[in-house]
Amino acid sequence: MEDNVLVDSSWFIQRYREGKDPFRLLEASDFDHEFYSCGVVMTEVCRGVRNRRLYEAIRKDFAVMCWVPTTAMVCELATDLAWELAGKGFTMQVTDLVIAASALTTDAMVLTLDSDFSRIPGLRVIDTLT
Amino acid sequence: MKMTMHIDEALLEEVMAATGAASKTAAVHEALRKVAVKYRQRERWKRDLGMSAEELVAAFDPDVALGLRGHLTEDEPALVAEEAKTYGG
Repeated sequence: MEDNVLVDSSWFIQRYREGKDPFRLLEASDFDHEFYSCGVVMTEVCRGVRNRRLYEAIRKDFAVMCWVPTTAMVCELATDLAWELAGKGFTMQVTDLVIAASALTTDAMVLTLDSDFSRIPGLRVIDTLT
Repeated sequence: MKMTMHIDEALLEEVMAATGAASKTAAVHEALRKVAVKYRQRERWKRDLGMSAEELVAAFDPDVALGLRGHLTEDEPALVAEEAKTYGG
């Protein structure tokens, strides 16, 4: 079975920094994955766009991703993760907690360059699409 | 929509096992959804932005995107708080 992959903001942002179109890279991947996103990822990525034409293109690119709605269940899981990690002395960004909870609720791996995600119990983390 | 279709029984059972679908209808729906999603993504993402690498870099501000978030890679350490400063007095 193919794996679900939730693509984190950090992966998108790094690709733009390199002058590469991240969605073309997703399209060019082997497509054994089903690519997911959630609201906070789109918001983080899109606020960095300086150009309206690119902004509108990226919004359309996100629109065809599989969407994980930020439901009450996702928020409750993010809260549990936050509390659990805080108890271990680690305070993680709320956006990252929501992304992690979104991935866990869809049994998706997270494609990210942010090593903090590896602290989430049970979350599968990858940093490349190979 | 209700339809009458001829589907290979063994293939349908295999799809049910692969998707974990609880019914034949759910299995067919999931298989169709996956194909539709991939088609939709492939059709959208194969477009050309018409921008060079340099133009793409210039059109994106990673610092704004990152906001208060930390580092991107190990080569770029996370932001750390400055030492507290004493003002006045």
